[in-house]
Amino acid sequence: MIKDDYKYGFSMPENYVYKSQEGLSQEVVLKISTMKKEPLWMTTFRLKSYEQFVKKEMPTWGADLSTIIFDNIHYFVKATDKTEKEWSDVPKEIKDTYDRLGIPEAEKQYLGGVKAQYESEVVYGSLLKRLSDQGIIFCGMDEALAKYPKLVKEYIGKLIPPGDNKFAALNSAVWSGGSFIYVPKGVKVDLPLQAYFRINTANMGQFERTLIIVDEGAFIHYVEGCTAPIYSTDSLHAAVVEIFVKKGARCRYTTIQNWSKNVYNLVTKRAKVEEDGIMEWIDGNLGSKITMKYPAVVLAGRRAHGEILSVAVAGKGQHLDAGAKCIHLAPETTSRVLSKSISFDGGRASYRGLVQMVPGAINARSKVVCDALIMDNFSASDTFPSNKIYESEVTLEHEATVSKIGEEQLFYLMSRGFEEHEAEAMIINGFIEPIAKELPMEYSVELNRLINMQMEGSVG
Amino acid sequence: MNHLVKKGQKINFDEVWIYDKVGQEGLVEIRAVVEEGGEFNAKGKIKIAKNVSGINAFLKFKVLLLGKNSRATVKPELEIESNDVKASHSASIGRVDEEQLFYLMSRGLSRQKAIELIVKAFLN
Repeated sequence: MIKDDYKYGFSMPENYVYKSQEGLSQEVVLKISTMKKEPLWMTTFRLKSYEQFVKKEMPTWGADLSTIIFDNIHYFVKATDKTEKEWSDVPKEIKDTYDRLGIPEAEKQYLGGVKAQYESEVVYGSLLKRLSDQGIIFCGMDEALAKYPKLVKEYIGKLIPPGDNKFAALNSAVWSGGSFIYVPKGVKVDLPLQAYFRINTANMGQFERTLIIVDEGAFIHYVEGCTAPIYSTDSLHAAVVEIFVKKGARCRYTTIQNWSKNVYNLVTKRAKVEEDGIMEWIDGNLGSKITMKYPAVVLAGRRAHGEILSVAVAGKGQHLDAGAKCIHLAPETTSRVLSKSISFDGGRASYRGLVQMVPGAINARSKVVCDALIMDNFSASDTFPSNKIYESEVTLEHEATVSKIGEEQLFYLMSRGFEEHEAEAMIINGFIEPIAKELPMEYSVELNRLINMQMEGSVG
Repeated sequence: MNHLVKKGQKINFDEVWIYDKVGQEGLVEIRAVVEEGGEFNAKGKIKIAKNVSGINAFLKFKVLLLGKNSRATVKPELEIESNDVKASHSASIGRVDEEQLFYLMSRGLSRQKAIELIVKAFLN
């Protein structure tokens, strides 16, 4: 029925400068830090995080994580010696991989800059001169630590401290790669910035760390797309994304996650929004074996606004536990969550969300809508929202519906001459339309194509 | 199932509705009014087992918060393992509508009386 071959399921011969031993210890953490020639405070940060990681319990709620064996994972792989500046300097194998993903194409088009993460470090990066002229910093996290240690030190781990959860602690201990963006006051970036992440070693965890600071009145749209080659052993992806949206600034963060079906995708994403700021998370989850990801907005300033739009498509053997968190700490803050999920061929999609309003968050408003489609009788869907309202002068609305594709809708389209599978594909595309239309055009097309491809033959 | 949570009171509510027979239908509406300093904690789950069909289940929470320091935690959950079904829930938490208050007060009721009337209607 469903095609099992993963679209990007090719892998290149492994060719590494350094590959850490399997498993994690204080020594490995120390070694990563020394190899990267990091300042002392970062080494201490990593070691403290490692202690937290050892102490923290595995989360027992949500998806089943009991099959992760931390000792079988490579925590650090360095693909080439240095970060490449020119496309012509990038090793051929890596280039071939990107060619298949169409990266240079994307770059030729209107994207501002491509930071492609092959393995654990940024090997290729380009940034339009226009951006750097405006004072925008867009580079790899390791580069940022070397060049702008003050900025990094001021913000890293401040929103998601290592003790937040076991996987945030793990990431803080062994992080490598990821993006760093700083947008100065009042600068509006009109092109979406894009990063491409790939995993290419069996049993290798990717622990990228992303930090975005959008200063007062600035705007940025950051696009993160993930594709990974398929492997027979399980891989772990535990990223941390911290975003600071200052007064009157706006940040939009778009992700389409399409890890191969053996990846554990356990990501902590959080944004702090100050007065009149806007944060938008747009989150597409198609791949991975297990995903646990709950993008959060902490609305800390008056009139701050948070928006989380997410799509999850769970097929055979997948459990996608995604959701949203909106924490209202200030008066007149508003948030909106729209979650759409589709489960088919034995997949399970869950929505897990939190809306919290603290005393004093007067006139805060929040609206949460979750829609789920179940395509067949052996798939499942859950909704676990939590609404904690500790202030009376507020409005909260939550609604969720789980159903299958309506017979009447199908009947109508079929009476107009569509085949059943065409009609179903149309209904599904319509179902995710409110989110797909928010994506940059090429992503929107890709999302529809990926969903149709995944579900081919499984519906009807 | 309506609750009036008085001053300083705390009411906990936790229930699971299991639908395991073909063609079952259910509509459950839970309303609560929480007075100053009161706390209402509610959890409700609709569970639809494997291999059942024709189910239509709806769970609705409506909470009215009055006065300062009134709190509500509402968790409406769905756990659905069959596809030929429909399950929905909704939750709304809010305050007394100012427009309704204004209308009643324009008819000569005091603010206090108007609130009492709205609460009474909400719980019926």
